[in-house]
Amino acid sequence: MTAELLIFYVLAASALVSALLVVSMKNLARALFLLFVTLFSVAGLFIFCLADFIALTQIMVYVGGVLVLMLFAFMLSNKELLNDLQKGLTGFFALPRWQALIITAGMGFILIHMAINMGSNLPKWVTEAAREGKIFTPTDHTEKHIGLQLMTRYLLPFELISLVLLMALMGAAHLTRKEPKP
Amino acid sequence: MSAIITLSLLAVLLLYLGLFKAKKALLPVSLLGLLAAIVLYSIQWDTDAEPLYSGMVLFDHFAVAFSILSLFITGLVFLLSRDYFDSISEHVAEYYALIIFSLTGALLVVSFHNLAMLFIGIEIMSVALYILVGIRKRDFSSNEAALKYFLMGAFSTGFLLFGITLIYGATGSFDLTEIKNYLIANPHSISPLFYSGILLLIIGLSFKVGAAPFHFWTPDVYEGAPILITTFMSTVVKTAAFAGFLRLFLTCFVPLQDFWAPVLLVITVLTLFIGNISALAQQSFKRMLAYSSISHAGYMLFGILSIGAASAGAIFVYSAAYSIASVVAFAVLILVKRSRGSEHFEAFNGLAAKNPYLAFTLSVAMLSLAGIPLTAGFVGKFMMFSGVLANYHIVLLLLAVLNAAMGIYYYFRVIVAMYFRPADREEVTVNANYKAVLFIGALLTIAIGIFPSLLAGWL
Amino acid sequence: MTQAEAVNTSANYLPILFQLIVAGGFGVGTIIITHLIGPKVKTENKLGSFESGIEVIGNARQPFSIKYFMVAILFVLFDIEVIFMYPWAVNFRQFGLSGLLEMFIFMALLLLGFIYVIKKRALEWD
Repeated sequence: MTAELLIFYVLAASALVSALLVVSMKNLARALFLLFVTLFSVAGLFIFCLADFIALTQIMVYVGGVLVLMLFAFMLSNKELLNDLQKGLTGFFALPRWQALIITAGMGFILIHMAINMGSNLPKWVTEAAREGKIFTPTDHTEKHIGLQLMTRYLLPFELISLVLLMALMGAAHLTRKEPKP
Repeated sequence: MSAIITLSLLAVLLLYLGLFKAKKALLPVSLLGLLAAIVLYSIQWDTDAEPLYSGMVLFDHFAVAFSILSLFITGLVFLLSRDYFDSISEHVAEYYALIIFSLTGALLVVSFHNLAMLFIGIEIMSVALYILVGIRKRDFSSNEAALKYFLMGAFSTGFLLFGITLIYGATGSFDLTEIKNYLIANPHSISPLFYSGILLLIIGLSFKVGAAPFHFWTPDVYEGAPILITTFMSTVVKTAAFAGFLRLFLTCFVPLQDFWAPVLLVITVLTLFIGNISALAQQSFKRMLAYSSISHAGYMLFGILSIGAASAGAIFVYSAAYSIASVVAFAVLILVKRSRGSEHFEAFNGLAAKNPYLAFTLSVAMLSLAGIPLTAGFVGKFMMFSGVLANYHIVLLLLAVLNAAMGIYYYFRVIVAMYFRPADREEVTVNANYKAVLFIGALLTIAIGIFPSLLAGWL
Repeated sequence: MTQAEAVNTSANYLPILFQLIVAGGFGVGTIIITHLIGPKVKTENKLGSFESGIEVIGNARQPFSIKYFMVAILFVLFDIEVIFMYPWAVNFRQFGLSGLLEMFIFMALLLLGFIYVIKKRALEWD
């Protein structure tokens, strides 16, 4: 019991600390590698929520794909240009940060307000489902349910996702193409 | 639904036409496809609308009317595309395909009946645009616009998604009918998740429609993008985003009006003033149109603010009038920029003497955007303002009228430049497609202005 | 979902955690140990980077071809496609022929795009 709680707190703390470091770090390469830690810890937290499939997706797509892509993008970019970028914002109260601060504070206010008001009264459908015993247990295969929903009820959105992927493919081809000089 | 499937297949077909060097066929095939889609939609008009595909989409009159409008405006944009993309690069087929994909997304946004579909529709619409905005690869401002639009779009999608999640958390469903039933069944014990969800949805959708204070990407993106893409963005995409906005609030959130109306009221007033005051100071015609599109977003927000049975019709007429006039204005801008190489107001000096036809159609468009009587824009503004008057007090109406007056000032600057500022210039050559689009645009603007029932009876 | 159940499931993942700890510990441990027991000779030649005896010229960080980026994006895209196939494959038999067709439509659209990209020579290294 305590071992699991300990793991949970370690994961949560490492997710929080590494995420804070990612946004505050001046060195882009280090921030990118710290993002690995953040995403891994969040994947661990997903497992605690019984969301195995999401945890798997997180590791396969984000850690295995997107982060590598970001590292490539970092290596493709011009070092001198990035240095300028890193020097630009000195001081915590530089103007661009004010906007970020306002948005963060607003978002934080909404979420904290909501969490306080939520208290212990869960939405009705959650309590009803719990009373009827319609809950996932750790031995259930969530991906089976996700697959069923995906191929029946959410079939149309599922097929449309292929359109998004197709366009991403075209965008990638456009991005990496050499245009002849006019 | 068959229309949406037709369009997605059409886009893939266009891609392969481009691969097999059939460039001449691209424009006719796209127009034929759009026509087929319009016909498929018109057939659906009188049938009883039931949610399709497990309640994912619903093709009621609202959806069909906005879909046909989007298809029609896209058709006009395509007519303008002759010779336009060729000068940018040789991969023309991709641009046609991407516009069609984006249109598919727009059609999904106007006909969604499930929040998952709203999200995917908006994604399909925007992902295509991220690419289209940046198709001038060697142009620095086009690259900047694409990057800015991409970052802002991704950011706002985050808000939208978070809002959808919270609504799901409160109601246990993505389905619009079930969300509505939840609100009706629990009028006094609505979960706090729901309120936060509405707020985040408002933020996300305000980003998408370019309403202040979430408008800051709009001017740079509209200015940096190629003019034809700006036309598409400020007409079809904006119309679809507003239709989606309205559909969500009209079907689900009406019972909670007391909660979200004040938030939306602040956004509306800010949008109107920021859009109009910034537009006053512009020297570039394109940038002026970008800011004026922000202020038009403000007028259209009136329709959502005074939500009711009449607001669908009001937003429909307003967006139709605004879209048609915008297409005409951007078409003339393309021609003027091609001959003078500048987008500034000075480039329009003396246009009336050499090209009276161009000057006349642009004047009609400007009058319509300014909302002068006997044009479509007046009908749209009238419907909006009367809705506001019925629901709110006179102060808001006065603010709106003040803004309309500011609008008249900057729209008339172009007309004054064309008719009263002499300048030595060559005659601008206008090809047949442009002539046709300008003619259709001016004709419709005046026709709707004189016979409002042409459009107002649809919804 | 009660607390006890949530905790139970993560117990199943304990082996993975141990593996992570061992893997990470081995990497970090060997570095620390070599630091501790290795001889410490610091001359200028030893601290410089080794380039087969040739003088080092320029910066090690050179911008490389954007084509790598294309490959990385393709990897992510097909990664996402595979992720969607996973829940489908788990109950593949239940769906029967219609499920197969639905997945084929999904894959066909992406495949058409892939063929287009190949035909456009976006993947050729010249």
